[in-house]
Amino acid sequence: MTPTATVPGSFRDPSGFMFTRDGELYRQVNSEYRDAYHLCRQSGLYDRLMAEQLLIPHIETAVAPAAPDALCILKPERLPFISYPYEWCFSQLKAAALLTLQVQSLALDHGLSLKDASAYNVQFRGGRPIFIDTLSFEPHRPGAPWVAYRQFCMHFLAPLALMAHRDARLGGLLCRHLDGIPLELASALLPWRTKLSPALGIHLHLQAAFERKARKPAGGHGAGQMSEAALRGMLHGLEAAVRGLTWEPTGRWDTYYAESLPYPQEAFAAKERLVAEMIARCEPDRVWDLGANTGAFSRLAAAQGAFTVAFDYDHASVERHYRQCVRDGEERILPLVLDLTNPSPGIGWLSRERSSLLDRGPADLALALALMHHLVVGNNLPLPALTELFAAVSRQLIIEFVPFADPRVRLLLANRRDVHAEYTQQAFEESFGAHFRILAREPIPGSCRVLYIMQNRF
Amino acid sequence: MKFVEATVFTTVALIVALFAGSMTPAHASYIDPGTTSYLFQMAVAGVFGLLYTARQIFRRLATRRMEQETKKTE
Repeated sequence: MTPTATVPGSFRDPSGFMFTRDGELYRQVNSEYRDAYHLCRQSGLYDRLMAEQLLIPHIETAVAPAAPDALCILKPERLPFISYPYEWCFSQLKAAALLTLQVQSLALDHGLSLKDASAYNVQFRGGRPIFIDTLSFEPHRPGAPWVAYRQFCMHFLAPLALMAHRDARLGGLLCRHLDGIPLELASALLPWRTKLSPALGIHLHLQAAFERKARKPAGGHGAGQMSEAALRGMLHGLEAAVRGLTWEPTGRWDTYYAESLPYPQEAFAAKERLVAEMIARCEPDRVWDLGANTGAFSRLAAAQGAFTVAFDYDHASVERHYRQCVRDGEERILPLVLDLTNPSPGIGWLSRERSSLLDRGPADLALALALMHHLVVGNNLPLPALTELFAAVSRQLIIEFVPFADPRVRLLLANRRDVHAEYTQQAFEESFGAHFRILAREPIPGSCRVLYIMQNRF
Repeated sequence: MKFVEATVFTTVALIVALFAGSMTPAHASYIDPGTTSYLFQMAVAGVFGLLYTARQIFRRLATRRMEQETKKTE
């Protein structure tokens, strides 16, 4: 039996925590949560949420507890990849916000309420957002406001408003602010006109002003009552506010393949065929498509049954990709925003609460197509540094070597003189050969590019 | 409905702003944010309740009207 390890991201809630043992993931429910847990089950809330695929499915197991004071041990379905709100595009965060409100509304119908509304309680499963924190519910006390209201505004409404009204890249602020974007910061950053919006005016600006000036009165949480109509009205208002926020992707990269291919159409078709054959040869379960753009090659991996995380640093491309996945009902692709030159770090308590990208790997197979020249020329990365990165994230690698002679590289080099001179095919093979075994190399017909399959030696 | 919402919002915004403005910001760092959130929800609860009730009444009337029209057609 392998030792029990608690999951670093789930230590704050006294109701229970996640742990792993023998490669399986479990959730311990503590005795303290007894009443709420029984109410969740007896009221039919869990059944309803699971029937509607809003809550991650789990079963009760008989495994030994990981700590004293256990009520029961649950075994939730394990997801193939954990993503974080700062890696989601606008529509993903919006879908997660609407899910949270839907879950809260259903909880109220069953006499319960969400005690937190963290965006980290949502993951993507089968292309749809799903609530993962089974212990987030508490009995609803009639007349009590929603304890997680402020957290919802900080985790969802504030970043969505900033993305919609300022810049979609501001979603990245969630990486700096683990418990959501402070309301006074959001209020200061949002355009003045948003103060005139009833929804954003009340939930963000007014609340921020209230926070700045309020002083604790006698009575604390017990003071005052909030009618059922007011609570439902507030949830309805939040939903309308979230639905009212929109963003249309416009970027440099999201129309990259649609407008002009970097090589003739025949070469692109040949590349698609070669990549599909190479993926089939690798037989991966989990693929990371690095620099996926709008997912042309991610779809090839998904079509062969692999769960594919499609990373790109361009928010507009990820947004378009996600929308297409939703339209197509694609369940095996998860598009995410990621800057490969500055990947998501470990953050939170002891820098372990939310895992770094590297800690969530390696993938069975990484795709690095039409990517190398951007890293080498655009970011001045030497070949050994690239080798180190790909060796850290993949067991197998399909990589496209794009030489200096390529027209796109010449464009990139037009105003650059400071790139590493050793970027040749021979130097590339030598550098990657130190960490990978080269299984195949295939020139792409109609171009000077070469595709490789590599196997990690370690 | 938009006009009604905006009017109610403006009125309440003024009242709440005045209410918040009269508070002393002393020791703000020691205030539990959860308490502030409770107080804020109480302060604006009237608007949410009013809008929700108005919406429910409007929906009920619309449903009744549709039912009447369906009966007439039959």
